Amino acid sequence: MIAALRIYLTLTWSEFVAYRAVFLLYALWAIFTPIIYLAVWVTIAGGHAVGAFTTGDFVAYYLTFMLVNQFVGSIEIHTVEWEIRQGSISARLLLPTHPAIRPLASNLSFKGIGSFVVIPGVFLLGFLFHPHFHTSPAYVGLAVFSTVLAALLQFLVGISIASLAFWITRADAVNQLHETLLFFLSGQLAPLALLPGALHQAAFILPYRYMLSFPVEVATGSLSGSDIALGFLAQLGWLAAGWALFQFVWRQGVRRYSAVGG
Amino acid sequence: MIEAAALAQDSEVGGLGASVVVQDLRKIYRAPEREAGFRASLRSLVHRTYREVRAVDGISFHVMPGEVVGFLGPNGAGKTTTLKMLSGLLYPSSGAVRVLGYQPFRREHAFLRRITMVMGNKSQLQWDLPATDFFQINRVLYRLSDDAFKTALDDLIELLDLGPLLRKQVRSLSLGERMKCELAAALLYRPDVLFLDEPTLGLDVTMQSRIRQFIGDYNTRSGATVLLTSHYMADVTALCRRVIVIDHGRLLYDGPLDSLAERIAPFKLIRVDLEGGGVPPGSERYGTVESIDGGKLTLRVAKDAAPVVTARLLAELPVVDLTVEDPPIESVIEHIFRGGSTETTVTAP
Repeated sequence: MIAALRIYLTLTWSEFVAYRAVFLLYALWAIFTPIIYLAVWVTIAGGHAVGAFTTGDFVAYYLTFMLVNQFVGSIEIHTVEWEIRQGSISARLLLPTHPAIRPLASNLSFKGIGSFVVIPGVFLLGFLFHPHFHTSPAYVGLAVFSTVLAALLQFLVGISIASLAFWITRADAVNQLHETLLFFLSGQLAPLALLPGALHQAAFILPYRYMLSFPVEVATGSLSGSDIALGFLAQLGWLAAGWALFQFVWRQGVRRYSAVGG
Repeated sequence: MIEAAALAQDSEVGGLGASVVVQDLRKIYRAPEREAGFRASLRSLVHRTYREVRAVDGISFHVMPGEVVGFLGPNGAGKTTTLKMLSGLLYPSSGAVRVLGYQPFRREHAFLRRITMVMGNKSQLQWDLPATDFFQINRVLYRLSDDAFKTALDDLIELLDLGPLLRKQVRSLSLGERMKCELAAALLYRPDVLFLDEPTLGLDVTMQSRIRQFIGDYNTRSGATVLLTSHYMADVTALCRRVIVIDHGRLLYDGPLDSLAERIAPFKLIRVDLEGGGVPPGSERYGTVESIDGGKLTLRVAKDAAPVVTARLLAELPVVDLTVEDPPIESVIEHIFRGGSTETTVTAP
């Protein structure tokens, strides 16, 4: 399986390199979107604090967000769903390796190539806008680990939603709902600490925080030790649930697969 | 849909020593359907109706190691669905299927390493990369040693004249060039069973002939079992001594290609040589006139009617010579592809 992942990484990297312009546009989008949220919050703050966030905290949050988001995003709804719908997944189902290995490699290559633009972009913006971090090397180490877990969780949820295409022709409609919830509850629209009461509590229970916001919160040093421990427990729990969901949806879906004439 | 409970157990499946065993295999789909128009589309929002499609409806056969079997039938007959069940892509609704002793739908890696499926209408290669990159993937996935990979690839390069194609992006290959690369990728690991679904589809006559030759050579050298569907009769007549004919998911014929015409064609050809070197008008009353060449008349008549027509011809016309023949195999296959096979099930493995 490791050998398969390695060869697919080479392959998907080469494929993505063939579309350099697309990647440049994607990377610019990955940078500009958080900048817009940042600009809105900095304007709202107007030099004062919003909740516990100063202007420097907002800059630190959204720059970290930009970086983490680059490494946790899922593209499976666009790739795997298409393959199922078009029937082109048939060829991969006949290969002697798990059919999810290639999407995983594709996911990693996508992130790797995009990071060539996003990482320098984050450092440049950090130099220009003076973020205020309360972090330490230990927090950064934990944040890296948490980012890996968040990336796996997003991958599992993404490929599970894509696998709904085995039942319904347009799984991307389900993904729309997922992305809307991700937008509100993963800390994209606003840091979760700023969400009002019930929404705030829901965000801590639902999986979306652990797909993106949690590593950002750890990296920026805004959580206590016990909050981090609880967060990791919740993240591992959701990861186990994501794995079970993927196993169930994929196995049932492949069994149901019926590409007549495809 | 009939579920797995209806699938036969190992102990119930016969075909000892066969590469492929199929017993009473069925694939039944539920396909949504509705009337045309806006109202019907609104109604379908709340009330869906489904139609049961019996794509494969209780077929049985077995294929011995090294056999090349042509799988024939008109479009929609169930050929591709059967091949997909044999390769493990589709889950049967009921019945039993074993390939090399495996249940294909389990898609065990040990099974997948011993079979291949080539679909003429679907590329398995990566469009944005040269074929050589895809061959490297297969080297890893099928666990080929460097030596085995090099030997197999060198053979394929020579047999299929792949040298100039290896480094070209797949998207820039012609259809024939792409199919050569597809076959090479599919055979690099020397599979024991080949499922070939229209492997010469859309190719020009020369390329069809090369691919056909290659498949025949591979079968001879490796002793691989081949199941082939093709709409090109030349593929079938060149490669297959045995054919299986299905239509509407049911098996119509299983036996030697040579006997296909005799068993399945619903008509006979009557060739008459007439005295005086001419054919009198009105000969179409005996049957469908296939050709008139001087005093030579060829008629196509229903199989059952052949004795009566023969008697009438002998009685009513100045016959010098008369022969009754089965139609040539090409026209029988063409007749099947047009959806004209009419006889009831005949099995003669």
